Amino acid sequence: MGAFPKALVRAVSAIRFWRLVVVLLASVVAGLFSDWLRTDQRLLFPRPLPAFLPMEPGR
Amino acid sequence: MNIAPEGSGRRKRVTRVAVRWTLGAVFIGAGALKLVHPVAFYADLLAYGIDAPDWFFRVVAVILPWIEILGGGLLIADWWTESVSFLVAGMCLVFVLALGQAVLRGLDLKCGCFGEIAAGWFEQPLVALVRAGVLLAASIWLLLRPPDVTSKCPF
Repeated sequence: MGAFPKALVRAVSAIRFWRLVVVLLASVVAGLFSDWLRTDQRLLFPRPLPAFLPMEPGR
Repeated sequence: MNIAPEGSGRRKRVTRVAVRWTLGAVFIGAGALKLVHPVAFYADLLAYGIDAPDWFFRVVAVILPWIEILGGGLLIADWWTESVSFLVAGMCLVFVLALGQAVLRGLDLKCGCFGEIAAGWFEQPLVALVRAGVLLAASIWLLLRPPDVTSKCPF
């Protein structure tokens, strides 16, 4: 095996996959929460359109 | 007295820190700028012409900026670098593939890498492809280097 594949195998075997899962889960939670917190530009939790409020007669 | 290996080791350490900080800064900047205008980023994603359902692009537009910010922050802090550099290399590979297919298909699009702030030639698919290729090479280089013994991560 050449030097590059050896180094690649060593690098991949050094990865701790629970750390990747933590980063990805944190990103999902932060993304969902930030979208939910937004007052505009929502992509996952769109707000319903505001109800039409007719003015009362005589006003 | 053997001076060369020490000098070489120091140079490697300095290069590693420089690559880590540069990658981290680019990813934090790109993520933060996407986060400011998620709808614009979503529209940029749609322009790639990738055959996927609408919800997929919405989820990517909401979550990808946070992966970039967290990944960039961890790289700068030198926490979990051996794992985060794999994640960053994977993201760069996806960027290269997405931009490569856009260039091959001759799509005239804004890459959306740095939100709404970057415009003109910097957002052209070919320029963005070269940039993503450089970032991919840097992240693979970082992945293949052994972890820094100076990391202060408690976990």
